[in-house]
Amino acid sequence: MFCAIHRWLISRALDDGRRAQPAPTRRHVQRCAECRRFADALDRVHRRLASEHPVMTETAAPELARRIDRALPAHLPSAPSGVGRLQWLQAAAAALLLVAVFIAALSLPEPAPTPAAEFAQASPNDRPTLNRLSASGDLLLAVSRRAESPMHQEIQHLQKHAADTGRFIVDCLDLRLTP
Amino acid sequence: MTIPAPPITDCLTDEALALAAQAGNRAAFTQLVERYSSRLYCFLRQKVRNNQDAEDLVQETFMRAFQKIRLYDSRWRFSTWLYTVAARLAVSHYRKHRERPVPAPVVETPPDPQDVLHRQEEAAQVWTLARDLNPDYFQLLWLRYQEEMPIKDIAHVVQRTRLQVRVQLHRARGALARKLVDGYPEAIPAESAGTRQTVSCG
Ligand SMILES: [Zn+2]
Repeated sequence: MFCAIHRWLISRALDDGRRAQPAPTRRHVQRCAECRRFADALDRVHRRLASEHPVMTETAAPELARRIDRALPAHLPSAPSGVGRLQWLQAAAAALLLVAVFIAALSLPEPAPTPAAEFAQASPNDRPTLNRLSASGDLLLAVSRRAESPMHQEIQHLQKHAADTGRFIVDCLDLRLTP
Repeated sequence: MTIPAPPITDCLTDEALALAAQAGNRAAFTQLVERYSSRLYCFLRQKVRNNQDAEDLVQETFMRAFQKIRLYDSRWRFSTWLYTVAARLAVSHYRKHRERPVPAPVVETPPDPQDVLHRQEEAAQVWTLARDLNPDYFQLLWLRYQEEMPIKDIAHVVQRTRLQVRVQLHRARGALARKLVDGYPEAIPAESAGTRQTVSCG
């Protein structure tokens, strides 16, 4: 009974590239000669399937591709009118937005240095005032962070559209491919 | 004398070619036809058991892919999308021709000794043996090993659950091991199965 389960797990592990056999199965295989033979046989089949290539003699393979290609229409179905241009406009707008985001990110002011040194030198009488000022400084910092967040949201939004950007690049490539 | 540079389409991935084809690039689609014709033929040939039908199905698959290229979603591998189209066409072909009479067998002439030797050499090849398995097993082995598809993609192509795919791959490898390895111990040992189990390959 256990052998049948372990043999299933041995076979299953061959299809999970990253995951090897579970530890109990490895231990079982060390002890059980029959399962070791099973694992060796299966591993041999697995490696041969992965490394050998089939010979298909009954078809004129190179001719097949040419025949199929000749039978297909000369032009691929075009996009509905206006869509192609719209995609280009969207892509251009996205590129402009990206540039704008980077320029805005570069022109953000550097955060002011913390007045830690001055704070340490202050007299005990000045400390409550300084604490209040520090608290309002923290508040200002939080507000400024919140002010930055739309930009962060925008960057995240752009990341979500990475696939569209990829398509845009391929579209550009396509222009160079067209004979 | 200078050697001409290969066309730029040779260097692109299938997915990049498919995206170029979506944008209307015909040369990119031709490249996909060249890359996949023989592979699809091998995949479909086992299912239809007839050379001409297999070639027709390959052509139909490309025709369908050509018309629907805009529906290709680049989150999937192109091979998964194309094989899914092919597998569905094969299923409807099978349903349509289920009742078709099987052609009478050709009367065989005595084999040429050279030919016999060649076939013996060929029989040692694992894929030649795989062709004698159940066509469903062959297709799964093909997608798994020749197309290097993950289980998830295979399940999508053949419209089965991942577990069903895993179980069938397990059986298919067992059936092959039985042909290839002397004294291969069965996946289900005789003592635990009650009677010795064999996997149907027909
Ligand atoms: Zn065992």
